[in-house]
Amino acid sequence: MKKVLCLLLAALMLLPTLAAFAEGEDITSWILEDDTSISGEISFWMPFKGSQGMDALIADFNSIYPNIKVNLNTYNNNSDGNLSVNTSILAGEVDVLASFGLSNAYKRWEAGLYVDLTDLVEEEGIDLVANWGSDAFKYDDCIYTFPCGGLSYYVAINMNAWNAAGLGELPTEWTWDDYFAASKAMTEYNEDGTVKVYGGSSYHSQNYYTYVYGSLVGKNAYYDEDGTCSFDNPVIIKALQDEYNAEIVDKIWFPKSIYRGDNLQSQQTFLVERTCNSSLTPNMVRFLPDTANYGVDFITGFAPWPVIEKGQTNYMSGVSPFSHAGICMDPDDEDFPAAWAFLKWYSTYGVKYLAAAGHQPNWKGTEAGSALSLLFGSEEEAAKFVDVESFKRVVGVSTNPSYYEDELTAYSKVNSLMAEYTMYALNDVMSPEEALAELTKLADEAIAAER
Amino acid sequence: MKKREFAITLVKTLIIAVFALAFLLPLIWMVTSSLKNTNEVFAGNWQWLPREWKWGNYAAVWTDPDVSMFKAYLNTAFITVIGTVVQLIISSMAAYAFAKVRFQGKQVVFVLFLATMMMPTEVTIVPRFILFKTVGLYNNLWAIILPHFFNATAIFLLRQFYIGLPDDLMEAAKIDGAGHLRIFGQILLPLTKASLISLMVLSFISCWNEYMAPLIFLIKKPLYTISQVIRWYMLDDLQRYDLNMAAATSAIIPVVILFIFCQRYFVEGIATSGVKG
Amino acid sequence: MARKYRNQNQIKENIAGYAFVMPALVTYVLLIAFPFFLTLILSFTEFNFLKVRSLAKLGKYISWIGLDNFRAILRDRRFMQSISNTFVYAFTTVPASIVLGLVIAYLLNGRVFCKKPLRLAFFIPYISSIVALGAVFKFLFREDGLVNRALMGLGWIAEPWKWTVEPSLSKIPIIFLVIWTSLGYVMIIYMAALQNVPRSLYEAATIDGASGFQQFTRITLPMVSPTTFYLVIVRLIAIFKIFGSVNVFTMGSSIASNTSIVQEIYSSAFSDYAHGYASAQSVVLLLIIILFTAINFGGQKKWVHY
Repeated sequence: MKKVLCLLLAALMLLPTLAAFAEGEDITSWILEDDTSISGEISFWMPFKGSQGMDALIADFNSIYPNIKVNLNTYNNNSDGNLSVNTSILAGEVDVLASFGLSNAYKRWEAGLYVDLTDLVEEEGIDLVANWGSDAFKYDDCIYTFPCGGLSYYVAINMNAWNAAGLGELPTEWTWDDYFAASKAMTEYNEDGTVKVYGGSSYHSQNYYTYVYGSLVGKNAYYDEDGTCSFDNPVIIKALQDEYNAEIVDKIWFPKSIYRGDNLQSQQTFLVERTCNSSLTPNMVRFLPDTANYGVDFITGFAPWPVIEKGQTNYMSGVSPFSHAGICMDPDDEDFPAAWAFLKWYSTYGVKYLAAAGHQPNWKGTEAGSALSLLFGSEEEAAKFVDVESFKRVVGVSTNPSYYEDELTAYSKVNSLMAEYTMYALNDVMSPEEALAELTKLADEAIAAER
Repeated sequence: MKKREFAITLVKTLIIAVFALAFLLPLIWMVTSSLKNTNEVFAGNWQWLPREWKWGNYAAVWTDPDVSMFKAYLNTAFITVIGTVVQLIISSMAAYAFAKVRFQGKQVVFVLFLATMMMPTEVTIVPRFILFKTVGLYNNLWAIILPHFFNATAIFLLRQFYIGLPDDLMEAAKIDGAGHLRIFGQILLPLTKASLISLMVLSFISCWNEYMAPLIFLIKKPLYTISQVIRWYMLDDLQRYDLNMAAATSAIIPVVILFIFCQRYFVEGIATSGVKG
Repeated sequence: MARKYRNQNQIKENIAGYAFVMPALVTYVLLIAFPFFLTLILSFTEFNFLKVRSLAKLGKYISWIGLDNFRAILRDRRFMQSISNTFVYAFTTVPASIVLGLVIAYLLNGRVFCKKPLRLAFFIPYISSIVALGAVFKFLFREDGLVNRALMGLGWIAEPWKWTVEPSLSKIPIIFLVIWTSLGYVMIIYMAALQNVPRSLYEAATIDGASGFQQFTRITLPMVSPTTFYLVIVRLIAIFKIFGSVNVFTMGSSIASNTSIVQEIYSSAFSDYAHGYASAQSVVLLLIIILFTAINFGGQKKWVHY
C-alpha cells in the first residue's frame, strides 16, 4: 500500500513536468501552421546590434519566412534613443518594436503607441502563461506586448581574485552576509592603505538594493500589497543600509556615486579598469566574449543572487521578464500580417538569440543550454572565458523562481524618485533611513495622485 | 621713467598671462588626452603628455562608420551656412524697411520684433517640436536651420546702421528713378559690409555650437551635428575617453584657427552687439 | 491732387515696406509668434503629443485643466529646486564674469605685450562648443580627475571630492564652466567700451593727482556703466535659460541639486512626455525673465550714467 502511495505521489510530482512538456509541444505547433507563405517588408527596432545576435535571428527567421524582409534598426536605449523611437513610431517608421524595462513599455502602453493585440491573441488562442509564464503585462486590460525576453541576476566573479582570497568552491546558495564577507576578502589595498581593487560592486543602476526585497516577495519591489510604496519596509531599509556600509563605511564595494557621477558602467570597472573583483551585473556575459574591447586574462565565475536567509525561496534566481515586444504598425497596413508573423516568431523561437547579447529568453519552449553556445560558439570556447559549470548552474535558469513586476501605478515617477533619493543616501548626504523616509512620503504622494 | 613703464607693462603682462594660462589648461588637458590611450586618461600615475602619441584616435573619430565626425562637420556646416546667409538677407531687408521706408504700422511690427529679444527660444521648444513633427521636418536639418532665419538682434543692429546712413544717398538715387529694391541692393547694402561680417560671426558661433535643438530634432545618426557626436561619445557604453576628447578637440580647433585668421572680425562682431545695445 | 499723390505715394511705400519686412514677418509669425501662443494655450492643458493619432481630432487629445499645471508647479519639489539652482547660477556667475571680465579688459586695454595672443586665450572658450567644453569639465571634476588630483597634491583635501554627485558641491563645476565660457564675451564688450572713454578724462585726472585706482572707480566705472547694464541683462537672460552646461553634468546623476529650469522643461517634455506641463513650466521661465528684465530697467537710473 505504501509503495502504491509513493508511486502515486511520484506520478503526481511528475505531472507538472509532463504537462510542461506537453505545453512545449503545443507551443511549437501554434505558430508555424500555414502562414509561412506571407510576404512583406517590415522594420524591426531593437537596442541590440546585428552583430549582437540580431543578424543571426533575422537569417533564421528568413529560413522559415523567406518572403518577409526584416530591416533591423538599432536604437540607443537611453532617454534620447527612446525619444527617437517614439517619434519614429508617430512617423510610421516602426513596425515591430522590442524594448527593455517596464518604464519604457509603460509609457508606450499609456500613449497608445502599440497596436492592441488582445483580439488577435484571443482569436489565435495564444496562452500567455503557457508561453511566457505570466499574463500580468496588460494595460487597461489590453495586451500590447509579449514579455518575451528576460534577465538573469547573478554575481560575476573574477576567479583569480576569488582563488587568491582562498574562498574555495563557488557557492550554490549564499546570503548577503556571505557575499559581503567575500567582497571584503577580495578587496585589494595600495601600500598607503587606500583601496586598489574593490572586492565587490552593485550594478550601476540605482534600484538594485530593492531586488533584495524582490528576491523575498517575488514581485513588485517598489510596492506593498496595499498599493503604497515599499520603501519603508525594513528589508529595503536594511538592504540600502548594507549597500551604504559596503560602499561608504567598509569600502569593499565600488561606490555607486562614482558610477553615476562619472558615467561609468559596472562591466567597465570589472573588465576594463579592474577596479572591482565581483559585480552584480546581469548582462555581464554579453561583454565577456568581446575580446576587442574587453579582453581579460581571468576566468569569470558565477554565484547566484544572494539571499537574506539560507533556505529562502530566491525569486531572483530565475529569469525575470525584462523586454517587451509589440507591433506599432497600423493594422490596416498591408504588411501587418508580416509584422504579426515576425512578432510571434521573434517572441518564441527568436528570443534565444537574445542570449548572444547577454539577455535571457523567456519563452518556455526555448531549448535549454543554448545561451552558452550562442554567446561563445561552443562549450570549449566558453571555457576560455567562463567557469562553465557555474555558468550553467546560475545564468539563465528559467526553471527557477523568477521575480516580475506588474504594479504600474505612477511607475516612472516612483522610479525616478527612487533613483534620486538612493543617490542622496549613497552620497552620504542623508542617512539611508532618512532618504527612504523622504522617498516613501514623496512616492506615496505620487501614487495617490495617480489613483 | 621708460624703464619703469617697461617694468609695469611686464608685470601687467605676467598677471594676465597667468590668468590666460589658467584659462587654457583645460583645453591643453583636452588636447593631450585626445592623443592618449584611453586607459591613460585617468591612470593612477597620470602625466600630462601621452606615453605614446595616438594620432589614430582622430582617424577613428573622423571615419567611424556609425557616428562619423566628417559627416557631422558637413551637417553642421550646412546648417551654419544656410542659417547665416538667409538670416543676413532677411534681417538686412527688414532693417532697411524699418530704417528707410515710411510704411504704416512700422512701429508696431518693430516693437513686436524687439519683444522677442526677451523670449528665449527654449520657451517654445514644445510647440516647435509639435510643429516640426507635424509638417515632417523632424529628423531633418531644416528643423535646426529655419529658426535661425529670424533674429531680432540682427535686425535691430542693422537697423541702427541703416539709420546712420545719410538719406542724401537715397534721394539722389530716387531722382534717378531708382526704386527701393535698387536703392537697397545696389547702394545701401554694399555699405553695410562691415556690419554684415560682424553679424555673420555672431550667427556662425550660435549655429556651430547649437546644442539643444539638435538634441531634440536630429536623432538619426547620419544627421548628427558636431555637438551630437560629442554627446554620443559621452553616453556610449564603451566610454572611450580618448575618442571623446578627440571629438571635442575636433569641434574646437577649427573654430580657433578660423578665429586666429579673422580675429578682427570676431572681436568687432561681438563688440558691436554690446555697444549699440 | 497733392493729397492723392501723397496717398498713392503712401500706398507705394506701404507695399515696399511690407515687401521688405515680409520674409522676416513670415518667419516671425510661423516660428516665434505661433509657437509662443501655442505654449500659452498648452500651459492650461494636459496633453501628450505622442497620443495624437490624427491632427483633425486634436481636440480629443487635449484636456483643459485650467490652472492645475501651475498649481502642480508650486508643489513640484524638483522644479522649484531647479528655479533656485538657476538663481544661484545667475547670482554667482553674472557678477563674477562681469567683474573679472572688466578687470581683464582694463588690463588688456593698457600697454601689455602679446595683446592679441592673450586676448585669444580668454576668447577660445566663448567661441567653442559648449558640449565639448562641458565634456572636458566633467572629466576634470571626476572622482579621479585633474581637479581632485591637484587639490590632493596640494594637501588641501584628504580624499577625492565628489564634485558631480554630492549635492553641496555639484553646482561648483557648472559655475566655473559658465564663468570660463562667458568671460571672453564680457571682456570683448568691455574692451570696446573702454576704447570709447575719452583719453582727456584720464589726463585731467592725472593732473589732479588721482591715483590709478581712483581713476578706475571715478572715471572708468561710471563711463562703462551703460555697458555693464547691458551685460547684466544679457547675461542674466543667458543664465535663466541655461541648458547645455547643466545637461552635460546632470546626465545620469539623478540628483536635483544642479538641475536648471530649462533642463527640467526638457525632461518634462521629452522624457515624461508631459507636453502641457512642460509648456506651463516654459511660461514660468518667461515670467521670470520678464520680471528680472523689468527690475533691471527700473533700477538702472540709480547707477547707469549715460
